[in-house]
Amino acid sequence: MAPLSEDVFFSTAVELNQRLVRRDFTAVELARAFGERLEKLGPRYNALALSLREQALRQAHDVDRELKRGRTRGPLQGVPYGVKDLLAVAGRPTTWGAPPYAGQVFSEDAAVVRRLGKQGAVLVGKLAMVSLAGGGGYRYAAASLQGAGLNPWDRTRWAGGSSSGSAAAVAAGLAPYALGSETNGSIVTPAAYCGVTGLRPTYGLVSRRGAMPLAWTMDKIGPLAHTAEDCGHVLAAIAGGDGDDPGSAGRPFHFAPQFARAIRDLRIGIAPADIEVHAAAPMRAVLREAVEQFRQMGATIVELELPDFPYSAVASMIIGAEGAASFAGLIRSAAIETLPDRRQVEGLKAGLRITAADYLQAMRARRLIQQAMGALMAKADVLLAPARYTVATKVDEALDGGRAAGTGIAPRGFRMLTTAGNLAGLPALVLPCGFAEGLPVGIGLTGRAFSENTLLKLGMEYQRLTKYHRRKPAV
Amino acid sequence: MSEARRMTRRTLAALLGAGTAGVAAPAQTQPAAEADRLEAEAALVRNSEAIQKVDVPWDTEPAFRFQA
Repeated sequence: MAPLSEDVFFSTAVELNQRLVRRDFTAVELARAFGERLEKLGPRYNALALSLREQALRQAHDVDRELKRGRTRGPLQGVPYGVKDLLAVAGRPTTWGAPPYAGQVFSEDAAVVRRLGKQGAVLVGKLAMVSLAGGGGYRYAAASLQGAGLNPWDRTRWAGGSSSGSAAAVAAGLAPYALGSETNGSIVTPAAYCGVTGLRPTYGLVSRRGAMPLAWTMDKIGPLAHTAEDCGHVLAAIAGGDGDDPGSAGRPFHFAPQFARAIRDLRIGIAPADIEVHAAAPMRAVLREAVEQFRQMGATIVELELPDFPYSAVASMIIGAEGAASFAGLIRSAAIETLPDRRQVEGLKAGLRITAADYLQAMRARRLIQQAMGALMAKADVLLAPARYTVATKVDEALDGGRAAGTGIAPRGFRMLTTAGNLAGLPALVLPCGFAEGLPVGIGLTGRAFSENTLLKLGMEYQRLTKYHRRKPAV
Repeated sequence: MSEARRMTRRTLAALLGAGTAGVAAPAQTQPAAEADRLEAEAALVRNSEAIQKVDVPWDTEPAFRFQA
């Protein structure tokens, strides 16, 4: 077989599937090419947790036989992908990015892996992550079994966390798409830092069975990909009710952006302070251009701001208490000391000392936040804000130097929208929107619960008109 | 943690409580560890104080049945 050309590695899932159906190459050839590339280049970014190349070749062989018989399963059939290493793959190590779990093996695939398998998707590898998805907080990017996730655009910069390997793998063309998870920013941040498209689904839309639990009331699983369209196809494959996930909303998702409301009928909320005050100065021109693009697409732009709540304190209390309960056995054992980040060790231990009264007060405040976000979303269909307010941080930079409780930010704008959206369970889509200082900048769309088709429609139209998602780093 | 088993989120949670003891702890610098501990404790206090300042109406129940 002749080597596949470089453009294949940066093709979308939809494009790759079309070429498979046209017999430009076989699924086995594609799985071998991506598998070899992931093995060769994944370690360069500390992105690879475990290669599954041999397993992928067997899956791909089955796909080729199906395609020969004319049996098609949709746009993910035969297309390679990777998963964050907090998702179980039967019979293979699932480390949760943490030394105490380096030898952990489960007997069943996570629900999302099983669902993608039914679509003929080909799993080529497990991808690195911040230890325990960052539970307890952490000071350095190196808080991971594989070391700091390195950014394909500049290896002196962080890939973002906690789905570091998932974002880096997509950005570097090591996998056309990957699954990540988000409790409070773990898809949004690495998508923005690595310049890929990331979708955080509505809480409860995607089953978490077989996924590491960090905070039961906040954990979500979603895709990182080159395009919003690919995110939609992946979400359609992994979404749906699951009686084995107590948080499941029991709802399906049909990817049908053509039936979402017309963009000209949408109101998009922005907060000018996000760009003019909070965003780092080199990012501002890029972000202004992104807002203008959405205006030109026909949406009505309205100015809004988040209601006043201590979002970060509420989220920290909830994730801290639920995470401490989830990891109580580890925290009380000597194994906790093997985590690479001291701040995380102490943060997890402190979580055990959160009182029931504080946790419940946080959950009461969360109820008010949900109501307030509902009222805000009655004024706009979508909120548009920078996904992150800086470009990717330096890989050795302390990450916990900022404000702790998230209060007293003035003007508020949407500065805490990622946390507010996670507390309210709302979906968000991150789109690459340009570059500042040679590093990607991401713009985020947050929608009402279960409004993924609206977000994806906006994202697809934005990506039809702009080509930032097609830029690729020098790998 | 290498025993294979059927997995639900409940069993995962139970699993987290087992089998991780006995791994040797790496050497640490005591003053640095103490500073991290104090910082983590201080964050708990700050967060608690911030949440107590939220004006929560008396009839607000916690978001137990959380639905987006």
